[in-house]
Amino acid sequence: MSLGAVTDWKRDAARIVEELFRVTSPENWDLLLDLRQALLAGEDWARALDLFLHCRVRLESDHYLPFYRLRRLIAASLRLEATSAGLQPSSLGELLKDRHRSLADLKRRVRREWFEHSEEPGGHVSLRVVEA
Amino acid sequence: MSTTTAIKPETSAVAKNLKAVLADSYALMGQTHLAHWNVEGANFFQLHTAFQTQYEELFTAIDDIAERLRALDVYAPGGLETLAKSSSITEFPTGPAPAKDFVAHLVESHEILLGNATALREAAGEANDLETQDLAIGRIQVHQKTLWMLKSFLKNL
Repeated sequence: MSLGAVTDWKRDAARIVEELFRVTSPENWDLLLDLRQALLAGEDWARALDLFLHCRVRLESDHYLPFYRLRRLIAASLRLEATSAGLQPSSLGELLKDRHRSLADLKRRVRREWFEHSEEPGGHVSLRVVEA
Repeated sequence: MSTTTAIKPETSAVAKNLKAVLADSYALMGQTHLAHWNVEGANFFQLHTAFQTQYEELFTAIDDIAERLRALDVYAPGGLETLAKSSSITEFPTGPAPAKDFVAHLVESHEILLGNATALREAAGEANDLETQDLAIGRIQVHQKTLWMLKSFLKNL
């Protein structure tokens, strides 16, 4: 991966994660390292979002500001996409207001919203995380 | 020691930085007022009151900043549209949000203003405009203090 290819938001997000190493205990560092790498690599956004959610659940209460900044960057740069053209998930900005424990948890919320609004898909519809 | 306040043209670094501080202070006042109205939750009364204190302080400061521009013989920009175009502070979306999000958004906005006020202090110093420098130092102190308070609120002890 060449550093020049990394867009600004990914670098900014990685920098926020790097700052967390100074203020968190070592047992969180493997998870933070994985998140930083996933953000910079930009190859698997589902994994990056899932890692962010795991880190958030574990660390946000003690480090609200960095996670607010990360959340805003991610919400502005990633989105959920349904494989069925007629279905549109809520924006990540809206979904991330709640503290979901994992990507699976977040996807369950989207499917519940579809169900509540009588938009439940007939067949199997998968949700992908893509760069906005 | 005598200080001289030279009259600067519209394009001077001092005038440009004063205008930036003015626009961002106006935007921050609006955002703080929005937070005062829309904040919800267990800390409502505490934050509602704190935000009011902050936007009232900004209202007074904006008048001082604009009048400093006039004292330098520069017209002060005004009007929501004009100031919004000049401001680098983002708007918080209208709607329900965790109270801590309002505080975090205001932290980011105060950080922007702290940077602007610091640039103004430097520009005024270089121009030997000690009166504007004094105003900038006052603004820096206010934003540093507010940042301390807002960040303290976000701490989970």
